[in-house]
Parts: sequence; C-alpha cells; structure tokens
Amino acid sequence: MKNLSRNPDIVWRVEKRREAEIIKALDAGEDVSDKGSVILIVSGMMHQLNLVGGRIWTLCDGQRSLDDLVEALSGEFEVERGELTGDVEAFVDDLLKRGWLKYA
Amino acid sequence: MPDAVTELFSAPLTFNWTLSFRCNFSCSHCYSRDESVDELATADILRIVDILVEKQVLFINFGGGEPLIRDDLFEIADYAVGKGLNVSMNSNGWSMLPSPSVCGPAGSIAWESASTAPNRRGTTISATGPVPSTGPSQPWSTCAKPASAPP
Repeated sequence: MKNLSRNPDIVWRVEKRREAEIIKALDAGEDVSDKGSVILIVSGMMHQLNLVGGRIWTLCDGQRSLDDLVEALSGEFEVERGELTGDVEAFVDDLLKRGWLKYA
Repeated sequence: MPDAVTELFSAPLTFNWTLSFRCNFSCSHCYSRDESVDELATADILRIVDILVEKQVLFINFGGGEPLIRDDLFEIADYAVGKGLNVSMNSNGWSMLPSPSVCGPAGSIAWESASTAPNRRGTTISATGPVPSTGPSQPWSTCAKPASAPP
C-alpha cells in the first residue's frame, strides 16, 4: 500500500502545551473533538486539527500507509477497529482532496 | 488580552527581526533612520535562531534598517533555513540590482534565486514611502543616500 506524505508547502506545528491540556481533558471524559492541537498555515490561512486529526497529520511522514496509521492510532485511542478505520479513511480522503496530503 | 486563537499558541508564529538599524537609504517616512544601537554578533544571532527553533517559531522575517547591509545575513538565513525555519525579509531592494559593482554585499541576488526553496519564502521590496491620496509621497529613487547613488 502507498505511503502518505504531507504537502511540503504547508507550514505546521504541534501546539504541545495545548495538546497536553486536551489529553488531560480527554482523560477526564470531556469532549475534545473541537479543540485544536495542531496548526497548519495553508496559503497564508491558519487551520487547526483536533487531537486525532493532528496525530494522523503528524504520522503522515511518507513512511506510513493508511493501514500503518490505523495500526498506530489503535494503540493510542480506545475505539473499535472498524470505526477507527472508517474515520481515518474519511479524514485522509478529505485532506487528499484538499491537496494537503498526497501518496508518496 | 488572550483570545480563542492566540490562546492556542505556545509560541509566536513569526519573529520579525531587526538585525540592524543601519540602512543605505534615508527615507523620511522610516522610523529606523535615526536609530543607532549596538548589533549582535553572528554567533549570538545563531544562538537566538536555535532558541526560536526550540520554541517552534515557524517564520523569521528580517527587517531593519536594511537587512542586506549585514554581511552575515546569508549565513544567518542559511542557518535558519537549515534548521527548518521559513525565512523572508523586507528589503529596499537596492542591493539586489543587477550590477555587482554597486549592489552591496556579494551574493545579494542569491537570496532571490534561493527563494523558491521549500522553506525560504522570499522577499518583500519596499519601493515607495507612504501613499497619500495624491500618490506616492517619496519614490524609492529619492530615498537613496548620495554615497549609494545609482550608476
């Protein structure tokens, strides 16, 4: 299976302090789905990715396939494998359509 | 006061850096033309770049003064780019004219030719002064000091 890589024109970083706060909130049972932990600067516009989206983005280093992403995330998040696979596929497909990710 | 966006940030996105107040122009509208301060040595600047990298700052924009007036600008920019930072500068463009004998630091043109590298984002040229309703108040050509007169 082909590996996924980020568009090199996109400048980004993990907001580590924010990420730590979100993980703490997640552990406390809060809904963190709309809280950004990774920022992307795309053509001068800033976008945020939530915790799961940010992890997927970070893992797309050109060395991992979609199956590799699911495997890595399954060890980090408590979610049924089929649901996780569907969510990752949908998210990656969205970013591919935006041109933010591509197959290496 | 923090807001929903800036509260997100653990560090600034961009570091606007006046490396020098010195300039080969003397524009009436410029705040820096009368400033005179000690400048940091190259080694100190590179250490600051390291700190910016550690803090995850994404962009450095060199300004001034005229950034190209520092002979070590390319060394600093190359170092920052090598560390993954995205580099740009605001220049009056004088040192980028295509005539090495009057263009200031050797290699000035190299900045432009290198500006297509993935994380070197290019240059903004300041060509005029403030623009009142009647048009530019101080064209670029009138800002040059006599010692830097064009050929």
